[in-house]
Amino acid sequence: MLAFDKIKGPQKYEDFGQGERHGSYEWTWWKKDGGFARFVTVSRTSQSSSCQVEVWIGADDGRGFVRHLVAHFDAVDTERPDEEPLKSQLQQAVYEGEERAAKLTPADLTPKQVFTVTTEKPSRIKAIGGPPT
Amino acid sequence: MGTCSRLATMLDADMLGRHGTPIAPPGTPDVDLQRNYSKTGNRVSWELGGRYLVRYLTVSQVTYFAKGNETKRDELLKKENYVTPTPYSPEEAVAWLALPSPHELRYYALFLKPEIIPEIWGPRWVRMGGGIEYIVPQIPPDAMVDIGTSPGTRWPLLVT
Repeated sequence: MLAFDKIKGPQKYEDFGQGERHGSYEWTWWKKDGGFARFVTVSRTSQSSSCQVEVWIGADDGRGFVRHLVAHFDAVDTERPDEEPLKSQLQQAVYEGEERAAKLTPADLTPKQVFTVTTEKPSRIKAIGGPPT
Repeated sequence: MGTCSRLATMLDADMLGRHGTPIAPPGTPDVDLQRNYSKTGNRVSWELGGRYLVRYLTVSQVTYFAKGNETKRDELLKKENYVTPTPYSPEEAVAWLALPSPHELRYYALFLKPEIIPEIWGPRWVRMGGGIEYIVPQIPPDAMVDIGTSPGTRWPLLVT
C-alpha cells in the first residue's frame, strides 16, 4: 500500500489527525490564525489494484468554509521502488498547497447553512433516563 | 432529485443538543478530541437515542467484507475510523463529510452499534464540510450490524 510516511507536512503547520474517512485514508495538517483555520490534506483512496492520491486545501472558521483540490495522482496501490517520483510530486504538491492555503481569506469562505440548536432538555429526554456512566 | 442533507444534519445536531451533548468545533484536532471528548460507546448510544453510527464504504472496500477477506477487514477495523450518525445519499456524503476522491461515490455503508464500542471520540463538526462526525479508534467486529443481505457479505448496505 502506498505509504505517506516520507511525506513532510507544510512548514509551521501542526498535525490535525489521520485516519480512515469513509473509504479514503487521510492525513491532515492545520494552522490556526485566530478563529480562522487553514488545512492541507493528503489522501489515498484505494481501488481494486490502483489508488487515487490527492492533495486538498481549505479553510474553516466555524461559520463558513472552502475546499480546493490542488493535485490528483493515479498510482499503483503498492509499495514499489518506482514510486519515488510520485512521492516527489506529492511533496511538491503539499508545498504548493501550503502556498495556496496561505492566500485564503475569510472572504473566500462559503457560509455554512447555520441553524440554531436547542440546549434545553425536554421532558421526553428525562423519560429515557440520564446518560450512562 | 431532491436532497435533505441539511435537514438530516440539523435534526442530528438538535438531538445531540437536547441530550446536552456539545459538538466540538471543526478546528478541534483529533488529539484534543481524544483528550476532551472521549466517552464510552454506551454514552454515545444514549446521546444518539439508541441509533447506529454510519461508516460509508467505497465499492472496492465492500470486498473486504466478503467471506475469506477477514484479514483485510480486520486491518480496516483496527484503524481510526471517522463515522457519522447522519444518513446521506452518496452524492451528499462527499460534500457534507468533506470526502477525498469525490467522484468515487460511497454507495455502501456499514451500521455500527456504538454500545459495543469501548471508546469513541466526539462529536465534532466536520472541517471544510458541515456534517457531524465521531472517531472510533478501533471497531470491534461485533459492533457491525448484520443486515443479512447475503451469506457472503452480511454487513454492507447499499445506500438508496
